Amino acid sequence: MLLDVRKLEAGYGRSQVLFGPSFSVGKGEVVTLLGRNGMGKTTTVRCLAGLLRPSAGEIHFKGARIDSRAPHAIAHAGFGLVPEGRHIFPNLTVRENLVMAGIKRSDRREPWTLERVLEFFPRLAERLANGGNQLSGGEQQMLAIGRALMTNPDLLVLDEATEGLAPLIRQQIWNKLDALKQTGLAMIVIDKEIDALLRFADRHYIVEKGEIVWSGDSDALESDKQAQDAYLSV
Amino acid sequence: MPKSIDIIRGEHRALASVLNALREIVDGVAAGRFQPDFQLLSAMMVYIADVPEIVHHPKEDDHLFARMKQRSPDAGVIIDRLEKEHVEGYALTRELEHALVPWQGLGQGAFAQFQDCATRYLDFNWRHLNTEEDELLPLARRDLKPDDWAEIDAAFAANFDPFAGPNREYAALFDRIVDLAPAPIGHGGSPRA
Ligand SMILES: Nc1ncnc2c1ncn2[C@@H]1O[C@H](COP(=O)(O)OP(=O)(O)O)[C@@H](O)[C@H]1O
Ligand SMILES: [Fe+2]
Ligand SMILES: [Fe+2]
Ligand SMILES: [Mg+2]
Repeated sequence: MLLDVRKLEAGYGRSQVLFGPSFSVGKGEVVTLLGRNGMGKTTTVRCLAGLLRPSAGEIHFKGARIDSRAPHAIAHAGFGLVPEGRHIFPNLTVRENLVMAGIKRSDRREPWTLERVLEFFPRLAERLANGGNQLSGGEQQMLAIGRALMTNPDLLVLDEATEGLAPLIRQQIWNKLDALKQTGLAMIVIDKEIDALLRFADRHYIVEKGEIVWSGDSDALESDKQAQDAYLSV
Repeated sequence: MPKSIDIIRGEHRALASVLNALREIVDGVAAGRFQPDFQLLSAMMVYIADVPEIVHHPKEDDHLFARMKQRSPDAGVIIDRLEKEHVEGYALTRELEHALVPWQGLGQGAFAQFQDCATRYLDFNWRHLNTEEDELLPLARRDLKPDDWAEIDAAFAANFDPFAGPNREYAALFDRIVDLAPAPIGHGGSPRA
């Protein structure tokens, strides 16, 4: 098991948001966290990345417990986050954004380097000298994914990566994620495009009010109209 | 879900996104919102011609349809129709390519002909994709057995990388289309220096 989350509890100040979700991600597996807005998906991801300290529960990543580690240590352990809202540095250039994210790993056969990220996202190569604030939404999203790849992750977590993008650009992002999946990279994907996820992901967890209320593979989710109506329709 | 169905659906989604973009661009040109960009239009033509003909239809004709003919008597009529449409679609694609040339050479005066042709082309392709998604794939899932899927999956894997094509050239072509497509459809042409 690559990631194993057990009975996670967390919140903001006095208000508890997560009430014990447990889930796991295997090697090379693509897993989703689904659920309506405000259900705790981003909060879960913030705990995994070390940005929010859980009040209870355990997070095991590659066999080690990481729930009290700092964000940079978790990134070094191989956890790559593409955060909701992208969070690139607006005053740094595209090149600086990528280079400063880089983590070298000696154990990679084909490590992600600046060159490889630019080959994967040719659009960024044309934008290297531009500031993060001069990029369109789609370009910012590619930069955010590029930054996460520069850490050479074992697990890539994408929180609403296609949000607010035009359909053709969204499809471009899915194409890229397809290519990454084929390299065997494990992923957690949070996204509103259920149709795309049914095809792309292996397993799904539905989060409702800070708990996992449903889990299963794409076939099970596709045929469970009741679960879709209860937890996913808006 | 058999991997082959994910691949077929994935190719449909990618193709549909380019067909939709073509529709938006033709509408935008008609409404005077976009200038025609023939580099973009040519790239789109190559994509919507080659991806079906080289990457997608062989998977359907040679593997999925072929196997269903043996296993799914109920699908016979639909498959006959879909196979005919593949041939028809080939002709419509040539027609659309030919309509692009006068528009490019003669200018706005020949746009109406391209627009008319594109409308027919897009309507035709929507119908085809929908028939496959709504009628054919459910029958395939009902009637094909695990052994059938294993063989189809293996054949698809030997075919090519899903919609990237040999040497990933279609992935690069897709990137180029999104690069050239005007905002808000795509990234909006060459970046500012
Ligand atoms: N920084 C914050 N401070 C206080 N409450 C927050 C904060 N971030 C999120 N919340 C609350 O936590 C709950 C879960 O939010 P979130 O994890 O962002 O949901 P999701 O990602 O599923 O949309 C919501 O009720 C939200 O209002
Ligand atoms: Fe077809
Ligand atoms: Fe098809
Ligand atoms: Mg969120």
